[in-house]
Amino acid sequence: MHMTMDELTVGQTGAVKAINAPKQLKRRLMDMGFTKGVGVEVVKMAPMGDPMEVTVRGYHLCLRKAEASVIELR
Amino acid sequence: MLITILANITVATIILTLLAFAISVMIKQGKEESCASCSTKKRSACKGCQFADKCH
Amino acid sequence: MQTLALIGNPNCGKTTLFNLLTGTSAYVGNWPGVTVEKKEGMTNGHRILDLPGIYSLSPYSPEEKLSRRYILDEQPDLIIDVIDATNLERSLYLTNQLAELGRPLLLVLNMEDLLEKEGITIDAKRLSQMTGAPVVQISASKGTGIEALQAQIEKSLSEKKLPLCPLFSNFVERYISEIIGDDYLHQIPKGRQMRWAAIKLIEADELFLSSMPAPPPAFKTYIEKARKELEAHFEDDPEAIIIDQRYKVAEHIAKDCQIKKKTKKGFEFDSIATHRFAAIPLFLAIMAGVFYLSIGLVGGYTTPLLEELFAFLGEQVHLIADRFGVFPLLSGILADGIIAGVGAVLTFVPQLFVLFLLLSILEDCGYMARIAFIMDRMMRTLGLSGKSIIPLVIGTGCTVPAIMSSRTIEHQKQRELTVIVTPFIPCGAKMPVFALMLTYFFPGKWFIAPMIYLLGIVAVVVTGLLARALDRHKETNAFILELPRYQLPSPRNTWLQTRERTLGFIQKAGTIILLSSVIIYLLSSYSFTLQAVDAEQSMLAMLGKLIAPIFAPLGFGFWQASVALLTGIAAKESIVSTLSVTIGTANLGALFTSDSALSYMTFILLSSPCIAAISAMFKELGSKRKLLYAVLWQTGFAYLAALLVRLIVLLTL
Repeated sequence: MHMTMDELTVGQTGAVKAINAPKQLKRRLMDMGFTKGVGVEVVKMAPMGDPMEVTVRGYHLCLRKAEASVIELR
Repeated sequence: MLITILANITVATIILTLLAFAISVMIKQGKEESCASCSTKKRSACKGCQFADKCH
Repeated sequence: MQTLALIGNPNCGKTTLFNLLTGTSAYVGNWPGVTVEKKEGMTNGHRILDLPGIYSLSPYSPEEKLSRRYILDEQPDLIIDVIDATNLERSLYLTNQLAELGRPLLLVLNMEDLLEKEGITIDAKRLSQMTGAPVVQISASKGTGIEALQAQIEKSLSEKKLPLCPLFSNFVERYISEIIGDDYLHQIPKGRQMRWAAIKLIEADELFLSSMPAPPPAFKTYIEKARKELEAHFEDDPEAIIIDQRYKVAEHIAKDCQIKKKTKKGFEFDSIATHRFAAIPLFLAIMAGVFYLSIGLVGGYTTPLLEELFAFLGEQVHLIADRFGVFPLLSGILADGIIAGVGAVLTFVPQLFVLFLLLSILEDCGYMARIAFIMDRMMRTLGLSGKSIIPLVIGTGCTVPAIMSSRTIEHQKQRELTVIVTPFIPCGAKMPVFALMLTYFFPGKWFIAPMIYLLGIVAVVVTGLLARALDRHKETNAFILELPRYQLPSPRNTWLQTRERTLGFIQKAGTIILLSSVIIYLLSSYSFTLQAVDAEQSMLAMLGKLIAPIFAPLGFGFWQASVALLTGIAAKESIVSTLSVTIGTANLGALFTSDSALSYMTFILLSSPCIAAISAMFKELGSKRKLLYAVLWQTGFAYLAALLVRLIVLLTL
């Protein structure tokens, strides 16, 4: 299943499979906790549908769909 | 007459004191390079970056 | 004297702790060459540094590079890692990296007061065992555990014990050992640890590589082979592999040391704060509430009282002075210069105090991150970032901290645009003149006041859209923002921040405005031949009339208005004090009309800010050229907008 995080809807969960992004963005996302196998859950979307709020490793984080689209999920 | 002189001196002193105070504070501010709006640099709670704890 | 370095993730309460430990000794400076703030202070006879909040020590962002370089080169005697106890796992990721730097480490579990509420228990002893660093539990906001912390700091400073380095999987460790075994690493700069250096080589860390001589070809080949083998084994690039390994260690420690119970979630403010439909109306309501409470409620009550007080004071001075034969010049300076001018500004202290207080609470409670989240999409259409909304909100109090808060926007163009539009939002200093004009020309028409804010927002939007249309590149930066827990801001911090900003306002009144009022009074009372004259023939009038004609199309082409605007460069509050001295607050109607009053307000609203804000702009924009463009744009836009406003009013009323 080749799904990316921006395709999740509210309440859905997934596990990170890979991050397909240029070095700096990838590093940044991984530093924030998005490593292989970690679980993410979508909490909600902003009033205009973007950015999205997710939980990862027990804390809340928001990122734009553009960033979320580089996070591939299992 | 004396009262007039004293009165004048009093008022003049008040004015000069206020002016001297104002100038001295401004000179001190200039030296400290402090924010003229928030006026203090020490313990600067007026840091714009504080809420995000991250300054670019 | 020993040096302590305070480090930790953003939002971990590090700054609150820093303030607690340093008392009044802290000051802010600058790291040479970077725009990151340097916060230093003294605690217990030691020097302590508050490093920027970071998630990692990657070689990419200025804050991370700075922190890493500081620890390696300056060699602080103790690193104090502040950890949000409710976020242990993620926090340990940084901790692991700190442990490899070879400096004594002390772990502080902050926010212990929240552990019970979130159903978390942490075995501090076990954590200490697994990391090899002492652990102290505190609550910086509640002030608990601080003495124990200070005692442990002393202990750690004398023991100088190094923490344990996290160990990775055997497969990775093998390569690390082999690299350490090679002679190349004997050339590492002072203060670096071999293990750390080996890991940097595997990661191909640019910052580290640039500090080393080129490796001999055989070694270089080995490293590349190692990286390839790692890549093949883990199916990921070496840098990612190391990050992954670190997080695995963090997970392992967290699993061993903490127990999380499922707690019943109480009402969460975010259910409405970021609600799809309610979020933005709520934001507008909160802002409206802030202004209503400060300017409407408190201001409405105190302003008339204080105005009367100062008017009375001025009268009394004249009466008493005349009785005793004081020279009219002296009594004039005191009553019509100082008291009138400064009084006009001090009248607004109560409402600004409340405004600063409410904004401070808003800034510290965590809501700002939500605002950035909900407004991001909208802001992006303006060429700004969601984070740009924060300077705009802070700008309603004072433009200077607002401009500084734009530093959190990483994208340079967006940041610069934010800096340029932030002054469009009416700041506290502009309020006196607005209030004056409104009560004089539009009594009872309270709805005009919100329209001033609206006008500022329109200016922001127009500028943003224009900038976006002209921007050919249209690239945006990543927007990744942690939503911190909501918290009641510490009363102490809130009080300090509010007090500082209010005192700043009062101090401005007692200095710049005092001086300018006296000067204005003198200049408007004498001609160039130093004869006492009517204001119209005074030096000031002659000077003012040189510039005044520029503003004739806007309706305020009389010298008093121009002179007031000029004094506004020093501080916007001066405008109202100058008008008080030159025209008198009771006689505005003699020169202004309702349409020219509105265009005057528009011009003041949108034209370039005071000198303090301009220098803040300069600091953020970095170049004189950009600053010039900014000032020209703001002032030009102000002129056109004022003209437009005047035309609309003349045509409709």
